[in-house]
Parts: sequence; C-alpha cells; structure tokens
Amino acid sequence: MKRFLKCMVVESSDLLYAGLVAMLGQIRAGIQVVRVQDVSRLREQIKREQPDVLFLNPLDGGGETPSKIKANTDRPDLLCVAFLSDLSSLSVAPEYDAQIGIYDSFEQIRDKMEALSPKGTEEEKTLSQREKEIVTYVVKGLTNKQIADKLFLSQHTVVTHRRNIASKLNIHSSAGLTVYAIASKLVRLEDIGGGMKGA
Amino acid sequence: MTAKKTYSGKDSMAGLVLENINMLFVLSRFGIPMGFGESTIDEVCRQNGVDTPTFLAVVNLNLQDGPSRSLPNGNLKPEAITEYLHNAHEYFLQYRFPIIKERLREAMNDKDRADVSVVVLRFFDEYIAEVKKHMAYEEKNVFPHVRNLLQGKADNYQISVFSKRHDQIESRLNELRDILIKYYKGATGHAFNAVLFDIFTCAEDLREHNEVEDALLVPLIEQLEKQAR
Repeated sequence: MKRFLKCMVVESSDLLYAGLVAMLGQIRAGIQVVRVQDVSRLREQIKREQPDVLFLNPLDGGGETPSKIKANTDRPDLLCVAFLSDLSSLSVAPEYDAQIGIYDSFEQIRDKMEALSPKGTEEEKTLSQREKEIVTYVVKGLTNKQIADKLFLSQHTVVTHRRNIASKLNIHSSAGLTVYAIASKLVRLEDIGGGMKGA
Repeated sequence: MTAKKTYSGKDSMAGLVLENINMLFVLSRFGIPMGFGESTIDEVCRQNGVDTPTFLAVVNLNLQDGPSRSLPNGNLKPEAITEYLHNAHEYFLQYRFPIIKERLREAMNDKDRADVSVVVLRFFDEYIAEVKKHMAYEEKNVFPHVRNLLQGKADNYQISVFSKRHDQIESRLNELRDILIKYYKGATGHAFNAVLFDIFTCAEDLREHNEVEDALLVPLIEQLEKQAR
C-alpha cells in the first residue's frame, strides 16, 4: 500500500472529515491529509500539493468530476475516490477509481484502499549487480556518459538504472548515495577521492 | 494519528505546553518565557507583546496532523509571522544544526568505520549549506517584501516565485536518517541512537516550520499582494 501517502479531501462536514482522517490513520501510519476548503481552488491545490489520492464528496464537488480533474491538473495517475455521505449519490460514482460510504465498515474501507494500490508495489528493494556497479561509478564522480562508455550501455539506459536505484533505495541526492555506498561497503573512501579530513 | 485539541486564547498556557511538549519550540521562537502560573494563553501573549491570533494560528497549525489549510479569519499579523520565522531560522542555524553535527561526530567515532563518519559529516555539511541558502533567500527577499507590502511600497518581488522554489528541506534530513537506519550495519550505542532521534525530531520541527510558511505566510502575502494591486 505504497501509493497512498498523501491524501486530499473535499468534504464540507467537519465531522465526516475528521472521521475519514481518523480511519485513514488506522489503515496506514504516516498518512498526510490536506483538506480543500474551497472547491474552486481544488485544481490549483492538486498542482501544488501533488496528492496521491483525492477523496471527493460528490455533493461538495461543485461540478468537478474525476475525468475533468485528471485532465486539467495533468495528473492522469491521480486516484479519485468518491466519499459518499448520501446513498442517493451512488449513481454518480462509476467514474471514480473507488467509492467509500459512511456506512462502510473499517475492514471494507481498508480493503478498498488496498485494492487501489497497483499490484506488486512491494517490489524488490535490493539492488541488482548491475545497479550496484552503477552506484559505485556515480559515487566515484563519473558522468552518465562515462558510465555508459564503461559498461557499453546507452546513456538512456544509465539514466533509467539511476532512476530505479533512487526509487529502490529512496535516496535522491548524490551525497546520500555516497553515504549509502560507504556504509554498505560498496566502495572505499579512498576510491571516491575523500581523505580522512574532518574525521 | 490521534485527535488533537484546537486551542483558544482562554486555554491555559501551561496546559498547552504540558499537553504538547513540542510547543516549547514555538514558545522560544515567540520569545515567551516560562513561569506561566495559571495564566491563559491570551494573558501570557499580551504580557509578552505577542499577537494572540498569530500565536494561536501557529500553535494550532503545528498541532494538526494533516494540515487542514483553513486560514483563520484574516486578523493575523504578517510581521509577527515573519519575526517568528526569522527566530526559527536562527534557532536551526545557530543552535540545532551545530549540536546535531557535534553529536554525530561524537557518536560516530568507531575507528573501524571512520570512513562512514567522514561521508556522513560531509553530507550534513552540504545539507546545512543548502538550508542556509534557502533561509537566506527568505530573509533577503520574502521578509523585506512583506515589510514593503505593509508600508505600501512597491517592489518587484512576487510570492508566487517563492512557492515554486520552496523545497522540501526536511526530506533530505530524513534521507540521512533512513540510510543510517537501513544500511549502516553494526552501528550501535546510546549516543548513536540518540543522535538519530535528534535528526528525526529536527526534521519534524523543520516540517512544521515549512508548514507555517506555506499555510500561513504565503496565503497572507497573496492576500496583501491582491490588495496592493
């Protein structure tokens, strides 16, 4: 259930909003929730906050629909969940990726949220041999072009590898990658041109 | 995700701090000293020349788990917020970061792994430099812009520029914490775990700091800019 870390909620009732937040918190630790107070600023806020999931009560949506929102915010991947406070609005929900209602049980909501995450999100976190090789070159300060030449790969492939490395390790800076490489003994300090200054 | 209370001026100041110990950080940034007795938040703020609505906005924002981004009704003092943020900058740069750096140095003195200590300290130095740059930008551009707006002076700055360049400065600190927890095999000791804890709370503190900028200051400036037009 990696995909829904940041949620945005359009719900005018304080009580229902608080209930939804409390339940999301029970499903997954560390969920961040942003509430949209003014639906006319919804698109702007989606662009700014980049949520993974949008919970929208169709009654509060002010004419917004998932297809319009996705198209106008350039977020085709945004998961839109209908948050139904009223059984009669069931008919508007087909366009949504999922729907939850105020009479759903905790287990039902949890299962629906889990079903939203694409299969196999818990992908392999350890690096392949090739990826480790690339880490060592990156840490030694080689450019993508130099790495590509050394390994007989295209630059494009090197970039793809680097992107996969960053997402597997969740490390996005080269300083971070260096700490990783030294701590896990992939390279030695001498290899990266670092003296013992400041040690 | 536990439900948190929303505080008002009539609540006890001591109660606020006792119920939420991380409010200590907020108090020192507003320059409010301890020894509240039974005084209310409003009384303590008045005694110390702090704008109560602004104080409450910062407190309640920090206490919300997910920001609800509901702006309190337009009576916040922008200059009180910039002063708060300025004090926070000083706190991080002059006090918090140097302490963490010193503790990292002490905690990572295992002679067999001196290499790790070198790259970790290098990472941390780079990080401090980055945050310094970010904060200096605000001091040089954003805060003067607020003063200009309040005095009705025109300048060429627009807060929308800031919103775009506002990086998630706490995430790199968490990156370091995560690397050490996941990949530094064999690291142990009270000092090491204590400094990891420090990094964690410092990143949280930075996140809250950024929240005040994004959720309170930026919308206020947008409002002022609209009025000035």
